[in-house]
Amino acid sequence: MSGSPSAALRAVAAWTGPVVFVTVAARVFAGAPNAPLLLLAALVAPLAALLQAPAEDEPPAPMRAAVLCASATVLLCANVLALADAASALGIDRWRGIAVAGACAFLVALWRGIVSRAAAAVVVGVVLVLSAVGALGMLIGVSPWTAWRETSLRPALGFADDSVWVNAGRRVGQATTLTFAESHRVTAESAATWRVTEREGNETTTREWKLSPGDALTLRPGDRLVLEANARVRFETGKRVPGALPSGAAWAHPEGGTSGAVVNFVGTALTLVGGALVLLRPRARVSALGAVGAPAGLVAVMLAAGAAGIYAAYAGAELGLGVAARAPFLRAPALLLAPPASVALTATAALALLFLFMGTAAALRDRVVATLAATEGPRLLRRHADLVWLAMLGAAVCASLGPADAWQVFLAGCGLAACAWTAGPAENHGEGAAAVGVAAGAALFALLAIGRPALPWGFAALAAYPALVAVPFAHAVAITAGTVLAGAARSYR
Amino acid sequence: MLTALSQRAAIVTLLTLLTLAIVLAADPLHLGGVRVAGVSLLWWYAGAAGPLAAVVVTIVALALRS
Repeated sequence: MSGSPSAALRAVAAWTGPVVFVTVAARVFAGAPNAPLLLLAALVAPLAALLQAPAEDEPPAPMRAAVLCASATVLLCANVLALADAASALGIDRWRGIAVAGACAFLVALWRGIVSRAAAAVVVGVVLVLSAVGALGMLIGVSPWTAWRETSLRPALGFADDSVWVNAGRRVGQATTLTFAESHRVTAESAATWRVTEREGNETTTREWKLSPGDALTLRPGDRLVLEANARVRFETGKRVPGALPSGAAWAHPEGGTSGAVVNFVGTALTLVGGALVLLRPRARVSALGAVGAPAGLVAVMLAAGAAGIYAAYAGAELGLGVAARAPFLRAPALLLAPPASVALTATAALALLFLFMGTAAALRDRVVATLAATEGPRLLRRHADLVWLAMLGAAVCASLGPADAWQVFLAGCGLAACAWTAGPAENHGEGAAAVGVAAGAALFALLAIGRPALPWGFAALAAYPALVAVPFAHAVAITAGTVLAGAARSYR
Repeated sequence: MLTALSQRAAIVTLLTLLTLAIVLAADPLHLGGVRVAGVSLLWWYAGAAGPLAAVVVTIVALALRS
């Protein structure tokens, strides 16, 4: 099998970034209804993309290239956000995480030697991820399936007796809302104003309490407590972790069978597959090494993410409190092991995320620069594709400074890219018609994604996954435009 | 011809694997919740059997393309 030895690895490098790993692990930890399905979908989408014919001889149409570049920027932003979340979970300021991610991405953009080693960065990242998760399992002597079984048998997901949260207390980091399922005495360990919302039948009452260190409040089932950022609190020993699922059985068997959850998952899966088909299409023929290495690397990352989420749940539901909830698996070694092993494993996991990010940044830069160089767009863009990528990188880093959900941003990038894919078959109607379709689809996608909060209820539900509306729309517009343009050409002749 | 056919078959198989997971999760008989060696069938499928099957199908299809 002749071909580029790293074409397949470079293609999947755009997918194996921190955002997918962190999200899959966090959903598994939280016992989200679609967690196991998400793990499978996040693997199947890039595998389907790898099976496409290589795009080596097909210069992309300008409109398609523009949408692809925009979606690559959004994907990069999602990965920067995920690294920032990981930094927060480790107790590091969010902006420092963004700064490190931005510096790495700029290094990748400016140093061509690193770009050509995107595949190597991914391989190092995969090895580190497997080392961190595998070593954690070996050191505690528990396999992922044993950890899953033991977690699922817990009658309640509560605080351990030796937990910091019930002894010395801890800062929540970010502003947090906690919902209590049982009576719970919470103690303020720092001066703060707490807002408690109590529910009596259909009526809710909100009260503010100014507390000094040592003051305590007893919250009843159904009460909601809003804590300011960096509030230090202490919970009651033996009680359930507020916000967590009530028991191991509820964690193991989430309510995934409801129609809403299925629709939600189908929307996510189609968006992922559509985005992957555009963003991960190999640019050269896949070699024998790539044909085995890329799928094996993907499955290794996804299974490691699932195992990391299971180990985090096994370590304790308290990892879902405060900023740790953004990447709970990074805090799991500290609960399960003593230093220096816990520190070494946490550092390995963090380093793995950084390498995966560098691989993703290199792969996205590679894809954007190659697309701009090959497209029939303005000559200035083609000649200065590197500068364009630097500008896109700056935009992505700046955008990640604002509060946003990394996974939602990732889905937006995939959905936007999907608009460029489905209009592809409509290219039989001419390149101009396809361009009109892609532009219309991308515009509708952006409109739905940005304007969703302002839409009436029915439309808002439809716009939860804008790609499901925008992609067929792009296709229909392309076909209509093709028919109109063909008719006009016949009339002219 | 064979290449295109194998690619399409592989993509259809991948999507079928994904659909089976949805069916298992949404099954009204709750088959996905049945425990095998302490772990639910849905997790065995989505976390082990499905991913491994998907990878094998992809590798075989990519090999056939050569």
